Amino acid sequence: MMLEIATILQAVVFGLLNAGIYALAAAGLVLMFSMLNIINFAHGDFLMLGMYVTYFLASSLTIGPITTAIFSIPLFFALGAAVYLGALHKIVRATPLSQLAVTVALLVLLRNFALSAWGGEPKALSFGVLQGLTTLGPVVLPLSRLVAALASIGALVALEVFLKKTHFGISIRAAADDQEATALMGVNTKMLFTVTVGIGMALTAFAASLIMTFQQVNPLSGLLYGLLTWVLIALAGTGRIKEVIVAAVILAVAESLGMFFWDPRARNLVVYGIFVLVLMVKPTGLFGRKS
Amino acid sequence: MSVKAITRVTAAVILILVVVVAAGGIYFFSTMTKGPSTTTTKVQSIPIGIVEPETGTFAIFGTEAVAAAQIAVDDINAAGGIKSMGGATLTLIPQDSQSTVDGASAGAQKLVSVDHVPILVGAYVSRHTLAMLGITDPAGVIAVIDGIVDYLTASNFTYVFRVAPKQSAYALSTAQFVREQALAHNLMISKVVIINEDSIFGKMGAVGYEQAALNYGWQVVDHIEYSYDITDMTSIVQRIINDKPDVVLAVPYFTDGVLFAKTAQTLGLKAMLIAGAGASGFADASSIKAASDALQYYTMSYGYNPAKNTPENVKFVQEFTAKEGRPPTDAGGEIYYSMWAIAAALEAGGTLNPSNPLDPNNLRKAFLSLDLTSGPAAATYPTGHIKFADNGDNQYAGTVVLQVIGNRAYLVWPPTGAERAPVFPRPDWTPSS
Repeated sequence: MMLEIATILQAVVFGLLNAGIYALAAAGLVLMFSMLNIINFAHGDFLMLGMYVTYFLASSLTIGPITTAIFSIPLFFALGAAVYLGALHKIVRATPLSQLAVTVALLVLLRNFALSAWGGEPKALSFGVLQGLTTLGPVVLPLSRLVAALASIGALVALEVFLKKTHFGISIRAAADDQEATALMGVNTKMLFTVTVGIGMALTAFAASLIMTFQQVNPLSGLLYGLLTWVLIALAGTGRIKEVIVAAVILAVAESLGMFFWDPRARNLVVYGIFVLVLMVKPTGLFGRKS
Repeated sequence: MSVKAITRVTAAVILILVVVVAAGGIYFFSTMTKGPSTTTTKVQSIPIGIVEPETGTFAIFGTEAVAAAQIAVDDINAAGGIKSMGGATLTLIPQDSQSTVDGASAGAQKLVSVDHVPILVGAYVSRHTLAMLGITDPAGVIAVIDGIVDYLTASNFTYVFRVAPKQSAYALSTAQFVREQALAHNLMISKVVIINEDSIFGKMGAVGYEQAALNYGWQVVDHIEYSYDITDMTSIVQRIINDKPDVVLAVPYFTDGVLFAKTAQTLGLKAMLIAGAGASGFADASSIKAASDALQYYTMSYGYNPAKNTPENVKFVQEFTAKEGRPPTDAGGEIYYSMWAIAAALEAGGTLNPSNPLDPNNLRKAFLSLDLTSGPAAATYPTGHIKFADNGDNQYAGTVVLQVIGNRAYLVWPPTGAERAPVFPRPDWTPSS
């Protein structure tokens, strides 16, 4: 197959379109991990749950998947708050082993809930509001993917503005740096953490609705995205959104090029191969610094 | 601290207990795994096992297969059962393979060891069927399989039979159909792309396509394999678009087939035809519903003809539709005629060996003695003729081709008995596409 420039550009563009969504999927985890320091292995399965909820709402109400976010975002905000108060709150200062045990238990719970509720057969929406494509020179841009990418970038920009320019966002960043000092400043950290986890889950629900514009979901989808989001954070080396976006671009473009020019089944090999190689050269990640 | 040794009496008691338990266990398991009772003076009920994926990724096929098997058993019993065995009725015992190899093995093991079935049907997915045969053949249980990969009947299994066509026949007939259409419309096919999921099912179908391409002088410009649980086909479809093939030859399962069609529609893949082989994914009612209009003009080769206008087939289609709310596809049709072939073999067995009809070797001879051109099995079979070769394959296997036009699939090939003429080339194709 000739390596035409147009084909390479197309592969890169598809990768860029995916990168935004991957970064948004990881953003919720970034918030929770950087502030609570909890290793949440169930994050991918909350994304999977969000995809199923998108499927259910879109099919029941005959609306587009992105539109379902109107309902799923507040629903998942409430779910996040409930999960924090019910489970995560108790393991904030626990040992990593305890955190692992609790979050893996959540993972198993979510996966089997999805299996019993929707069965093992993959589900995809039979319709899409955004059909067709547009072109930019030699490059083809499916409308559904383009809108999903733009929406995810918009959400990430809004998150950055929220974290930097709002009082609440500054409180979140302060608590991520030093929980005790923040509490001493009179900030209600329990409420802060509850809302932050809620925001993290809401972002996850939005990412799920965007993913469902072009993919299908099955009970094991959480494994795929769970690993990927952790890899993005580890590859970035920091808990900052901007750096996670850079990591997402690198992995998504590499994934797309690998699937285009090597083998569609090489996706995981390329993604995790790059991850391992980077960490071998720079164990603290691309932007991490030695403490 | 010293450890008190056990007394000689205690040691002797323990030794005797161990020997008794071991002997008892050996006796118990040897009788449990003993094959079904084959010498009967009067058989009242014959258990027939069925291993299908009733849950998991392939549940859409497995649930249909079990439903069709039950309809067949009900019809057979209503028609008087196995008359040569005094009207013995059939009892269906389903086992869910859970869409896994281990599940298929476990299901087969239970049917063989606990239920003592003389005949077992399954398991739709070829690699699951292979695992199942590893259990049934050594136990001397006849397996009538609906896994279509060629080597299931070319692997020296003794007690295997397959009424349905094998995978290479599906691919070859799809290619034959495509070639005939191109010739009929004065169109030249020079470049094709082959795309398949990468289990033995997809790979064997691709081998059939490659053989056909060689026979017809088509250049295979690309051959793409993917994992059947793929979640994003964007890069694959774009690669095919870049290849600019005249025809796309595919071997999908269900969800990957739907995903491919929807992605192809989104990215604007245009070809004279996108054709599937191997019974699933493009022309089922469930696929059409899931893909909306993305599957328009796709074709699929089937080992069952839902439009065959025999009273027996019409009756089956009506019964199935009434029970399941949709017409049967390949998965259900294959099982239905396979069950009736089993009934015919049991009838023959009861006549040939009345004193020992369910002995595996006698049953095998009964299957090999069949030459069916009438009766429900033949009447619901595409070619109308069932006769087994020594390796277990039906010597008169044949397929049909269905095409999705509007909101359903129509039989378009072979021309005899076709519901309508095929649409070829696709309306969205132009010579410069």
